[in-house]
Amino acid sequence: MATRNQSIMAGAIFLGGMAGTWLRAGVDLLLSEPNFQLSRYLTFSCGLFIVNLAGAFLLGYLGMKWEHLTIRENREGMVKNWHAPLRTGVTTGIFGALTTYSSMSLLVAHKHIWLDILALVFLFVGGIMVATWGRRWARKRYAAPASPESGVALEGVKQVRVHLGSQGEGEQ
Amino acid sequence: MSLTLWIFLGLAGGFGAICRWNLDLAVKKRVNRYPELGIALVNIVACLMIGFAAGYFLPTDGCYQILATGFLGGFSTFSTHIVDIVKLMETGRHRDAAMLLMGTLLASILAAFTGLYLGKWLT
Repeated sequence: MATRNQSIMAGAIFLGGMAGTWLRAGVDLLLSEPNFQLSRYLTFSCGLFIVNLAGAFLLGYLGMKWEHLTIRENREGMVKNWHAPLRTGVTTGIFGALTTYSSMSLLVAHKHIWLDILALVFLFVGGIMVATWGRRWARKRYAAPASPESGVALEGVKQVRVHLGSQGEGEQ
Repeated sequence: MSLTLWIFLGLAGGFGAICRWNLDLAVKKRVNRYPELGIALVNIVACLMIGFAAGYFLPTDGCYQILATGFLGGFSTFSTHIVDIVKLMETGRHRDAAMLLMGTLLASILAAFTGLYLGKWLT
């Protein structure tokens, strides 16, 4: 049987999934005009591109941010009951449902297959790039050392590394 | 698009998200070494089903929209898959990342074609 926590989590994911699906369907509906298609030879719609890339960036950013915040909250004893359901609801629910993989696989059944494959390559390369940027940005903003001692210790390690590095170069 | 269809779309999407969460957890419980395979399997299954739906229903059918845009759109995910790949790349496992990307893509296209022919054959 599902425990209370699991039920709350499932409810959060359901609500998030609903919101994500409506958002995707809404963007699709708004951009389903023929002049919003990337090209009239491409069956790919602009909506799929925008939604998938935005979702990849935001999931990269927020996932990284909340990973760091959870570590900090656990260390400082600041964990709240609603943190986990809210975060899972947004990441697994909203962004999971906002972005889609299944619609992409259908496009190969169309006429201009090479153009669609090109669009697919752009989508994957772009997705990996924006997700990497999102994660880097979040890490830069939220991975700051929480206590001054750990900051000093990190500085010390860096200096020792620099020192060793310069020694190594000298020997060569 | 009618309001009823709109409401069912959202309900189907939420149900799809819960199905994805459960299937992902079930796979992660069994395959400890590669937790990324959960989402990969979800996406491949979603592609099989959308192929079937595209072969079986007409695109203007309300059933098709609820199943494809609603349930399967909420079930399959691009962002989690991409972030899994980026995580592999960040830890230096570039070969695993490339294999995950290409493997999922090829398997899902194959699954979509299988579903498409299956759906057409059944109508």
